[in-house]
Amino acid sequence: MSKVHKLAEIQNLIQSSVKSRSLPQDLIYVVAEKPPISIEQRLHIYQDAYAIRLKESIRDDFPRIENVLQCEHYNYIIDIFIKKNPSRHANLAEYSELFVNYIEQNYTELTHLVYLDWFEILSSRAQEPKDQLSVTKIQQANYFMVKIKPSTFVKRIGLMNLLSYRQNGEVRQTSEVNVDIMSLLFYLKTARSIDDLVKFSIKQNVNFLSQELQKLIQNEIIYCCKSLQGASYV
Amino acid sequence: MNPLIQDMGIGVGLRPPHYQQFLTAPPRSVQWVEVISENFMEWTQHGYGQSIEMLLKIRENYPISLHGVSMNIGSADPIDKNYLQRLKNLQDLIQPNVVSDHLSWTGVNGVNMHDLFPVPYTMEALNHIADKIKYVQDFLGQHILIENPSSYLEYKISEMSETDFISELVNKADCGLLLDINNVYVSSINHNFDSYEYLKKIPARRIGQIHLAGHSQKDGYLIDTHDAPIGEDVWLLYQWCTQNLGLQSVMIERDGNIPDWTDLEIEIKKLGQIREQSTQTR
Repeated sequence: MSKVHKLAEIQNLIQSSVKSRSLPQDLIYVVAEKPPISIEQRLHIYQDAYAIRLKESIRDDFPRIENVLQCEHYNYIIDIFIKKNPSRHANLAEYSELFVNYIEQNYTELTHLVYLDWFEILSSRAQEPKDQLSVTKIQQANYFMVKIKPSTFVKRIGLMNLLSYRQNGEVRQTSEVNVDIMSLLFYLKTARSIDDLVKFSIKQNVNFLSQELQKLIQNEIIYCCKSLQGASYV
Repeated sequence: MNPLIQDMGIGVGLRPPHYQQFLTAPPRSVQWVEVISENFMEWTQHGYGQSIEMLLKIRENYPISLHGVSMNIGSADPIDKNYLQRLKNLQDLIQPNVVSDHLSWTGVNGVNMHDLFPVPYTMEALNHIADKIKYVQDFLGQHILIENPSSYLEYKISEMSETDFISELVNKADCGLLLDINNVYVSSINHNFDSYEYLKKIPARRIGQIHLAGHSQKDGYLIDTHDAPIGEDVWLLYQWCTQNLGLQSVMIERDGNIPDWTDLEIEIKKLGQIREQSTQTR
């Protein structure tokens, strides 16, 4: 090809050059030569910016992964990740979720760390629930339901039970959650009535309801909300 | 559609280190704020973050401009409808005075390179981008502003100058121009042209907003980093604009090495003085 005219062709050439840090021959027919800065130097500005921007974003979002790996190994993992997973997101924070999946699939020994970092971001970012009942409202309400808070995240990784939540505006995390509590938290991803919880408790053959529920509410892990169908009782 | 906006005075790019200041003691030195749209848009998997509540509180005291970096208006790709819907949702929530993005492309084939690449100034690009801007404006029900780029490369195949391209584009798409004076300066050094001649050729009546920022000096070229105070040459260019192109909404962008609010206010005050001088000399 001696000349490239179409917008799409030009952009494909530039994008490919920036991602692969190369100078395709065809770009010589596209980019203007303007000394003293060479075409290579001009492309390097974009190539460097791309690599630095994506690497720094991942580095900022996943400090635990960086802490446990040797610098060289860490850079290698990120380089491969970026090459295999170009961003298709409007912002880099959303792009980070792909890194979580990538680590989970390729470096199982690091999965719990990547989730701790990711849940920290999600817990701190999440909105407070709009339908939360205050203590007074709960006392006045005839019916209410219980649900996990939007800032609470749970995940089982092997034998580890991860819990991330926000209390008094600060993210707290633990990887040693009791199995029964984990089951309850998974169950509370949907709003449940007290009747539901009693049935769940019987089915699971555990007796945690009153004390544990109170503790989970106090720690801002779950919350009480209005019952839409009046399905629960005080 | 709303008309292209009038002079709203002095604004600032609101960034996390200054959120508390704006929530607890809203400064009187600025009359409006601009935020990066993508930082507040809902995430596809996780909805809005709690920062949207903060923005709604700030909205009670200041008009807000939504400034995007990922509309990808200059890309050969069609407009990303998922992106546009999320921007529309944010627009409905915040009711911004201005929605803006860049005359650039961020990726093709659905990829976002998270950088602002320059477009070739060809008729093909002009028609394509104008159509995309019209589509966006129809969808949002609002005129948008398109920002002139800072760039590190130019294309051999360009058929017209940047100023001619911009003039044609804003007329054809019936949109406004966000004039970034630091971008003009950075590109003028990188491509060896006269910034003042550039400013004389831009469509002044289409300017809806002006951006000022700092840049970094590299070996023989400049990078638009927004991590330093506004350079003296950029201040002079702004002064020239106030005297020759009239007064428009103007704001300071700072994205790196963000100083304390009191330090940033020194630059904001300087901006006020230049605007003041220009009204006195008229």
